[in-house]
Amino acid sequence: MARNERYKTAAAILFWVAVWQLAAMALDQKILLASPVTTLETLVRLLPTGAFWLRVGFSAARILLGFFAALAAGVLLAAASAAFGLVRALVQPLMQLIKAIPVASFIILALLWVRSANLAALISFLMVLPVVYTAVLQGILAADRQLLEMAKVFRLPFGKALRAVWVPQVWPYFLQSCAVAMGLAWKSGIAAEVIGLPAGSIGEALYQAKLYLETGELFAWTAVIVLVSAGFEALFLRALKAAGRKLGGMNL
Amino acid sequence: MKAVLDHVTKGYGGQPVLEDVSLTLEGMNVLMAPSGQGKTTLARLLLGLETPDSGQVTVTGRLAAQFQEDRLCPQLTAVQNVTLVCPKGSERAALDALEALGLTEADLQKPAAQLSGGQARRVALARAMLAPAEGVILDEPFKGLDGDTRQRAIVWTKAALAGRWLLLITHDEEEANAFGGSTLRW
Repeated sequence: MARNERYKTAAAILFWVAVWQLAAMALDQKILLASPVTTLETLVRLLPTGAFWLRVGFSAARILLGFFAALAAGVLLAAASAAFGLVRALVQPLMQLIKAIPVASFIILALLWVRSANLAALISFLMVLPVVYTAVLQGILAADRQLLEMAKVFRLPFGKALRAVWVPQVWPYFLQSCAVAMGLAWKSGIAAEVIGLPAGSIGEALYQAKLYLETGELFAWTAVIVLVSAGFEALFLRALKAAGRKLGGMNL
Repeated sequence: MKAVLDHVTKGYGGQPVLEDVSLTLEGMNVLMAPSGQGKTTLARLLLGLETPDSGQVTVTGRLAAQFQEDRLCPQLTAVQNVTLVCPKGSERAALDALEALGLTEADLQKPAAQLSGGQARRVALARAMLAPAEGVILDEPFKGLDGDTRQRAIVWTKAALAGRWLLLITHDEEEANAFGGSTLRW
């Protein structure tokens, strides 16, 4: 992002924080709307505690497990769908179904199948899978036929064709889906925790804050989710861009 | 090593492009025909990218080709595009070939997407000529090259053929004469 753009984004964030502060002051009901100052105070109180980091670690581990498993499964299923019509015919309706089913229905259903501690991993997996599958399949199907013919004529070994022809063409689609999917994984994973209430999770902390009307804590945990999700997204996308450049000499 | 077309017919959407074509390709072969007469279809049949509607195409050994389009991997440099199709340790040969074809040190560092039309054409030519193959198909290989560069490319291509059979598709009499061999006119 250019420096000018960064300033604009920072100014926009400051503007909305100011609106939030003014709204909280006007309402003057801490239970209904905690102010940014209260939220920050709560956050500062939570940050040095071990329990806070344990909760973040607990939720992050499960949500990221679901996310990465879905990336792997999405890419493999997309490749298989592009190669075999039968696989595509079988998998595509399933992906449509997963996309259409409300996440709350999945969470309640999944509670019957898995322990609540692993619920976030399963739900993140299910929410991310169709996003990655659809994007990667689209990338494969949109690949330049002329380059694929070149690879065929010159009998490029699979590894070379993958690095030089396939990866550079599919990578932008994959990257785009990852940016969307990381946020989705966190949102759905935390929603699963709020319903399943696994001990030691962020979702449980959110639920307890709501139960005891600790609105400041509710806002602080929400801010934590937003920050952690954005942090992981930025880190992961940076790593993916670096990997892309290394793999295919791509200038992303 | 040679390629044989035996009573080959190929059409698209019910429109025949090649009709009952029989020919044997060995040594130098130049194909000259107006646009739309099936030159590229013939090349695609030989390369195994199309199957004939009837008749038989037999190719012994491997083929390399310079397509009508450059078909370079846009993110790779000129040298990387050439070595991509060559066995390990071909960097020196690729560098020598590209320099002989008039690409500068600076051109060699650029991704193919940043090369000019004439530069990309020469990279595609070097790739076809350096790939391990027993026969080479060049579809308008010198298109877009100016006088001196084209002459240089023709001389280099003839030397790089090294006894392999060639099918040169061109509209240019001068190029056809430079390669000699049998000329097919449709």
